[in-house]
Amino acid sequence: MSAAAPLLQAAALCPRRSDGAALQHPLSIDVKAGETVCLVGPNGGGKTAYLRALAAVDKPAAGTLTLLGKDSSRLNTDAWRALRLRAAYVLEGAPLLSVVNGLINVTLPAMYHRLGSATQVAAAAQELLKFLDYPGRQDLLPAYLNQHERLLLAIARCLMLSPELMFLDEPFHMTDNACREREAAVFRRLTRDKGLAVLIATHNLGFVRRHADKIVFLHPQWVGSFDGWKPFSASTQAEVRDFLDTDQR
Amino acid sequence: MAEARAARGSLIGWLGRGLIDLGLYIVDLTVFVLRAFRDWARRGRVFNRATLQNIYGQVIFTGLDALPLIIFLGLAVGLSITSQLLKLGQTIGGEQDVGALLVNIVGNELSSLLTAIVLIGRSGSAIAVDLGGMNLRGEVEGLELLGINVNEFFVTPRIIGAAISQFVLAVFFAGIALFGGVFIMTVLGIEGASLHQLKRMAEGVDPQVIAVFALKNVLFGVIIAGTACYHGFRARVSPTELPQQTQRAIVMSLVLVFAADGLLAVVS
Repeated sequence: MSAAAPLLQAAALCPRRSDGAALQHPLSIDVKAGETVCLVGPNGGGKTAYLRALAAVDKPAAGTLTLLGKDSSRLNTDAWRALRLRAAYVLEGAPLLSVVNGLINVTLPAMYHRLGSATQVAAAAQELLKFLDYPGRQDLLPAYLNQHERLLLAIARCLMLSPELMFLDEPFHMTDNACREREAAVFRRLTRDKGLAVLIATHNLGFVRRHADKIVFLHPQWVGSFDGWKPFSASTQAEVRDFLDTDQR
Repeated sequence: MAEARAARGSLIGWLGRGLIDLGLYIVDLTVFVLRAFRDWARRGRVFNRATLQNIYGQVIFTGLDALPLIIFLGLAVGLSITSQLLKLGQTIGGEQDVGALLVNIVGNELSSLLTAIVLIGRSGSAIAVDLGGMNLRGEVEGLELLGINVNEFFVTPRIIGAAISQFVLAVFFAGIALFGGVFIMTVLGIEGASLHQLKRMAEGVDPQVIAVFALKNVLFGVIIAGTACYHGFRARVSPTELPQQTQRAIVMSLVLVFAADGLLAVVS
């Protein structure tokens, strides 16, 4: 795959909600390496459903998705598992395995996939935690860590597998402004330094305004995509205007 | 008359539905366990450090941590049931029969069943709560999304760990209940008890008894952990599902362990 080729191509993608109901508005989008794509919109717009469909986590109701050169509709279980190493997904709340400490959470996927000896994996984990400016203790169980620390560990364990794409569902959930700034800086480093494409479903419009290369607006009545904040904020679409005006109020 | 017939019909219908449900449940559970072993065997992950750690953890929790309780129960059974059988043996049969009786009833049946009951209450419930909680909090899906096969990572290690623990603990239980019982009775000077009985018991053990004992306990371990994992993963959305699935895991484990024990007793 050439450097300019999209890592993700979705055409007329209509996902399903967790209750199985199909969302009616199709989404078409291309995502290239190093891009930050933000999925925004009011509650009920289907941000999580679209993000999961774009990540090939859930099968869509309609449309096609090519992820890292693979047609998502033709993936068998083994191919889907192999794809997960290259297309990481961090769930809302960044749940970590509660029975092992922070460091083991980071090293576990790499150990499972036999990506190196225990020493190599531990060294790679330390390097990544340094890269992410992880401020917490590594020897504590996730229950004793704050949400910001848990998120960084969840990102670190994904990065251990050297993905090309990262999907994050509400990563700024339950963190204060200072932590949000640090998290935003982490996402910038992921795209700039590691060349990852990052897709984020978020309510944090401050981050979207400053960092989004593409914006996907998801509303129960309308879905559309924009090349950055400028066209998005200048949109005359009623749903977008209503959403932005509500945010400003 | 018609009412009585209708009541009889509905009772038969209820029994029939119950039996069909139980049959389907056993098929579903068997497929769940076989699929877990297939995933594990297919990728040859037994020496994978991540999953091996889970087997160690399960053996420590289910086996080692339960050892003091098993020793206590073994001694209690030794003092109560072994002593009763010793006294009974004196009145109804020869010493040879008493040895075989002790080996079969205490060594083979009671030790396996009581160990299984301890494991169901202790480890089966813990596995169901543990996996159910992890499933509800999204921890299991979080690992799945990292390309980890949850059958291989969560289910198989727990089943292997529980099977090993059940077998080893049942051996301990049988040993303590038989030898400890006879020894304490002899020390206390109870009539009918002598260390000579130990020799009789050793003579009552044959390879078939050992094979059935091993098979039975491994099967019990598979049933206990398999049922617990099966129900743990069924807690998907609401926290209220967790206690419901846990109690189902306990009840179904008891039913299946006793049914398997009866079946093996008939077959062997």
